Amino acid sequence: MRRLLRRSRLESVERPAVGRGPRLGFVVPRYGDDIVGGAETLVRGLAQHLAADGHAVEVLTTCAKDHLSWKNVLPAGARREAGVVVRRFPVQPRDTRRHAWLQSRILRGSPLGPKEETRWMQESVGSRELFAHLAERQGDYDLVCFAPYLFGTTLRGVPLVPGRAVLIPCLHDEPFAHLGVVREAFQACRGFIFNAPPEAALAEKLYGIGDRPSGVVGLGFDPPPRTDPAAFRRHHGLEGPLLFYLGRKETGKNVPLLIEYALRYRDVRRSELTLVLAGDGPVTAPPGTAGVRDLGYLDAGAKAAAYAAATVVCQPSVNESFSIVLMEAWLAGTPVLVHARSAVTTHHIFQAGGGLAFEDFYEFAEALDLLLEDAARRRQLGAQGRAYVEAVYSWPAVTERLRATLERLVA
Amino acid sequence: MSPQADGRSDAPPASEGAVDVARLMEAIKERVRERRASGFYSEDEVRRIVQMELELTQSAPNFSEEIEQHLVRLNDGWDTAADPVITSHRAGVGRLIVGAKTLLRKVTRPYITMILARQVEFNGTLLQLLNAFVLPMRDQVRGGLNALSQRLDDLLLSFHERLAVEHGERQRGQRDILERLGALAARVDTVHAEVERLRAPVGAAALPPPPSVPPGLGVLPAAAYVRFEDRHRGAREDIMQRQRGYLDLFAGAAPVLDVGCGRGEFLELCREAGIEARGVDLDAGMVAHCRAAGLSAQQADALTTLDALPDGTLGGIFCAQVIEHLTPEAFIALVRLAHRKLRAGGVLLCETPNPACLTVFSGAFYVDLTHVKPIHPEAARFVLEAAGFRGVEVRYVNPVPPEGKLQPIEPFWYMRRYEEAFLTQVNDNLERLNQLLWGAQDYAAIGRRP
Repeated sequence: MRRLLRRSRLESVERPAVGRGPRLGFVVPRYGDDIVGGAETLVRGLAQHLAADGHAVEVLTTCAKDHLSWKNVLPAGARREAGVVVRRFPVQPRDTRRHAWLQSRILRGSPLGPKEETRWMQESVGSRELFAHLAERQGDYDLVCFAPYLFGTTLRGVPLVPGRAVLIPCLHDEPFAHLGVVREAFQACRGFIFNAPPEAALAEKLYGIGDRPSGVVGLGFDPPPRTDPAAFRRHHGLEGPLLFYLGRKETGKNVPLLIEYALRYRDVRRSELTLVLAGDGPVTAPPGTAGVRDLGYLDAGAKAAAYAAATVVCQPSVNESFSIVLMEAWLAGTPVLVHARSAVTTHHIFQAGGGLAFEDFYEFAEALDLLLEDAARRRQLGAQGRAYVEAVYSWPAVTERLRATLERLVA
Repeated sequence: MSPQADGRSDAPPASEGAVDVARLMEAIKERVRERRASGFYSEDEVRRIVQMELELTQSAPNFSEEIEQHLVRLNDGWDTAADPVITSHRAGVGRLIVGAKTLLRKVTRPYITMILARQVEFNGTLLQLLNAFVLPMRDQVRGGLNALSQRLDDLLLSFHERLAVEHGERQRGQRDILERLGALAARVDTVHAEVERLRAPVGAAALPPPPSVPPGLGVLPAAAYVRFEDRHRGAREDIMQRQRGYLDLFAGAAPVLDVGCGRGEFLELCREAGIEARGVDLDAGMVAHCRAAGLSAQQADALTTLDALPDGTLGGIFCAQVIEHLTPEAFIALVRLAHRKLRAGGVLLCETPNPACLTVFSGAFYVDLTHVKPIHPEAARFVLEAAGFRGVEVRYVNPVPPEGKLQPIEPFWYMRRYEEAFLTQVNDNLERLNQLLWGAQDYAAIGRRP
């Protein structure tokens, strides 16, 4: 702590605004109020709440908004957004074709040589100016927190700030997690902020965290707005038992599996169940498929009503490091159904007592039976979930854990 | 690892009436085991589920995508003589190096191009050929595969449907044959019993005579039976409504004799339809009632009246709710006399309570003291046929209204298959009970003299 104070005094000339606790920089590939994405939402929430708590917080990011094209659309330069200093740097040109080719090989599980891995990392989204800023001005920050692990901003940024790099990996078990360049980044970090205990366990298994400081923090949630679920059902012409999926409709999120399972369930059980999909993305059922409705993108208000209108919310994805959907469903008092192969969502389910997990179609069907046949059980599971979110993932609880973790990280 | 990462510290305290998720998950696994063991999921279903899981887990890019990737790379790099991008990662000196490299490149370009020109041309031609073949070929193969798989699906589906239809037909055929065999066996039994009865020595099993009744004491006053009919047989209008259905049989069958005409409901229907008809009844009160309504009726014994008529003169004989008042011998005599007195094509109709409907015995049949013996529809058919009537038809009438029967149980939308099967069995049983207890309350045996 004394060292920290000394450093603060020395560098206070360069940085006029000094807040409480360590001076923090967050590095994230995209940043902004209207940017959808788990890691982006997490960093925004943590940065804003730390700033409101009196910390000196800066966000270093790119000018891009879209995670597919990575076009520079926002102006470069520094500005203050909701109490947080945000510095944006242009995305450097990339060989997207080569990147996609290497990416598809990684996903397919074909091994890449060290040079190819480096090439993949260099063609991932990055910014020369951002890296130069990190290299030259690293003294402005006591800790630089990178999120998530998968992008060039993190993998190439971490080695530039030795001794200050903290990783908020948002890690789950996928082919990318087994790359050598990813392992190197993990090994170069001072410490870690995880979203859930199973994520920490996975990082330990894959890279060996050892005795480096870390903490499980996660994202915080405000109480949900008051909604009218009946009006939502009427507006969209929805009746009977509704199984909701909210999120990006992608193969990686296991949406095709959910569609198959829901249709099979209707068939085997002769059920009137409707699967309702809400969100962007390429995966959907053929139009007019009985038993599936695709509402497309919903704004925040409609989404809150959707959570409350749902009979059950399903999160089939096994690629989760936290799962915001679970928390939002529980805040609306709705039970959730998750894939048992996701250690994180299953962890939440058992900790909260807020839903059920399925390993295959048979369990999916039985679990849905149990949830659909008993409204009192559903209410109780939803209430247990809500109590869990309020106790563990309210902003005050999250901010407290984050503050304690940061203290350990700078010690 | 930090103390927070141990995974057990963030559970909220358990509240009253809490649902234990771990226990529910165990129940789910148990139910899956049970259901699979009980054969709830047919082999076909299991196969389809396995197939579904396989398809979903094989989401990696396939072979044709790999070919496409190679093609993209070839299209990217076929021009081996193209100018490379000259860069340097060194600050300061870098610019100098780039300048020198660019100069060198400019100087050597004509010689390099000269050597590479034929290679570039070769590459270009080859690539054009590949472009022309690979992509259309891939689409063709993909289209062909899709069409094949669709065709296979269609074939399988139609095969399944045909199997199901044929199986159903075969089962129906077998059931039909079994039913006919059963009926035949019953007929053989009846005939056999009749033969045995006829063979038995007369008087061998004579019953003790019934106790003697003082003359006059066993008879009710004349008007009493009319009042009884009013109360128990049903309102006159209702009876007429029920009997209206028989009128068609008697069109052109004049003259009609209504044996046991009672309050004259059928006589009145005949009058309305313009069919000449008269009635006989043993009960003086009934006859007086008919006459008062302007209907032709006489108080007489049916058998005596019929016997006195010349043969082959009647067009129709209507006999509702009478034969159950007769002894079997009198019933046989009535039918045989009717056959003799009807002209060719003449019709005999005997309506009587249906003993195959069991609630008839808890009500209608034993309410009337003067009923002697219920007559089974098959017995009536047999007697008519034995007397020489042809085309004998048994028509079941006067069904118990649905609200008087056991009500079937509706399935709920969330029922599981085995629960539905259970419910179907219960409802089938209810239906069988309904048939037995609350079927048709009366029947009419109808025959024509050939």
